[in-house]
Amino acid sequence: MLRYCAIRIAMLIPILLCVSFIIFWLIDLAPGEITDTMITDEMTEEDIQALRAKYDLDKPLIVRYGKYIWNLLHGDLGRSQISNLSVWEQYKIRFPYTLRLSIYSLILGVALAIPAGIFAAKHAGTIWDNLTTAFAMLGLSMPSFWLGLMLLIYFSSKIKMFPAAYDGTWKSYVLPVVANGFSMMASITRQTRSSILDVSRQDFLRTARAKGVPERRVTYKHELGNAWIPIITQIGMMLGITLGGSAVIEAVYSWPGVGNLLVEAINRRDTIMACGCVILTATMYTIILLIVDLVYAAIDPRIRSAYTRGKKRKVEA
Amino acid sequence: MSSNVKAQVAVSRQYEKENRTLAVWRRLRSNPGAVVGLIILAAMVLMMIYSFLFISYQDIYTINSKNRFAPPSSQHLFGTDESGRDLAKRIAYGSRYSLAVAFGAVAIGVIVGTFFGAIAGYFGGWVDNLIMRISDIMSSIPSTLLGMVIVTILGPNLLNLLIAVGVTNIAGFIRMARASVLTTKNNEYVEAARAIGMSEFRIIFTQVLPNSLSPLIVTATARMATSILAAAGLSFLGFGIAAPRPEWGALISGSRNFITYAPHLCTFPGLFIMLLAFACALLGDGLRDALDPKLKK
Repeated sequence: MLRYCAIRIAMLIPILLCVSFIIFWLIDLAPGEITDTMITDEMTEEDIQALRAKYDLDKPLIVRYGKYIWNLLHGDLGRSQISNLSVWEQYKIRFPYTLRLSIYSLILGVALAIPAGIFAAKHAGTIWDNLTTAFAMLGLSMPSFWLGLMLLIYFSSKIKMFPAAYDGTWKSYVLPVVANGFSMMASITRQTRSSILDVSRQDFLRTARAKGVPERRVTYKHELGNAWIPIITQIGMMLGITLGGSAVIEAVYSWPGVGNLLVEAINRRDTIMACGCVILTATMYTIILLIVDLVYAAIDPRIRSAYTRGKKRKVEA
Repeated sequence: MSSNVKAQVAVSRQYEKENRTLAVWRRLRSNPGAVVGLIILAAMVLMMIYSFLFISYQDIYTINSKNRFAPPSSQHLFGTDESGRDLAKRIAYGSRYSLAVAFGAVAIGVIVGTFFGAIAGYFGGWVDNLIMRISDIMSSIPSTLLGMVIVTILGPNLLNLLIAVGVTNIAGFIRMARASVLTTKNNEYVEAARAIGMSEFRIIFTQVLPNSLSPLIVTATARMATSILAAAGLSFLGFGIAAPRPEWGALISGSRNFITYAPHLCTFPGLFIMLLAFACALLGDGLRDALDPKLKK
């Protein structure tokens, strides 16, 4: 088990190397350089060259990248080329806001989606099922930034119930969490419905009912117990996506999170900052997927036994 | 004689194929969700054709400062924007961007992804390993971010937005095509094709892939919905089609400063994004049920 975790984390290293190189290279290709906004009319050609040299722009890409990786190996993510603040410090300040937003949205989404999914599956084929499915589909099709703005219009500017931007109170969490959680709810509802329906045709349910197990227990223990795996995958994926792609909703609410930090870094060609954010986010994403895999083992005895019995039965990814 | 037999086989094959397509179409038609999706999609396409024929450049870009922020009325169905331009016309004009993204970005994903996925699944070994690791790398970069960076490099216009969203679609199709090739490549007819000396590439594209078509179509339709949302999101963040052009995401982004007194500027473009994505999602679900009747109880 420990070995498996170690391998998974070790596999992260080549991926991160490639990802960081791609980001480095892509930002280098992008028109415009970090020094563009610093150059003034009074500067002579030498001044400009000196300024470019200060940011190593006179050296080839590979040298700059090598330097970056060398520092990274020493645990140093570098400093922002604009504000000269440490990338790690900046990320550490911003990340909790993104994490909180993601976790609260996920809790809201899961709390509504699982009952809704079970409800739809239990009434499969009826009008209730169709209504729930259509509602979930609508949630999937709704751009979250648009929902965010609509919530702003009605709950912030019309009736002034919640603030329009982050101000430190719990109230400022409500609108972004709803806007973000809605689409999560939609996809988890659909997943729950279809995996419960998949399980519902199995023989062991008929056996359980025949034994006289109460219907409630059949649903929650036998049915949901066997339907968890795809649902958990969906939840993990949602958490990964919202941690990595929260930029849109953060832009709507001027949220002090990682997404806004990253957009700003890309816009200003702050390669070191952008690269650091991507590396940290990708690491986070992989760790979440690893945790999801470990959760499988915790809830599914079949997978657990595959781990403990050694490598004889490899788990299919 | 032998040519006669060949002709007969060809005819019966043709017949069978049509029959199967017809059966899928019949099942699709009886699914109310899919029908609604098809109708919305057709309406959007009609709207786009209308905009090509009847909406001029002047309608979209000419500033009319006397008529700013008019609320929706019979004259201006969705009201006017901060420069007095008719929002309904701008939205109709903008449909071409969203439809182009829906089809184009998915086409990029399907073509590139299926090609590499099929090769990976069919050949296995180091080819498979290499392609799959690359696809792992692609999927470990958050897609919004990848899109932002690509648009930054190439510059904000429709083609580049298409590429940016298309690239984020590739990894998914690689994985899907590989999985379905793995399940079909050991069938007897593939072995037979190899026995009669067909080339490897021909086997992949004429024998193996056609049998993986249904999951491909379903995923492609579903990805259309997510591509529309991704493109709108990128434009909203300013990494897409730039402001004076009436792309729907850009329209919403432009309305942000006026949401307190002109909420219609934000409401209508969003509704259209949602409708189009909704139609694609409904159609995708309908196709899944129609192509694979086993799945439906």
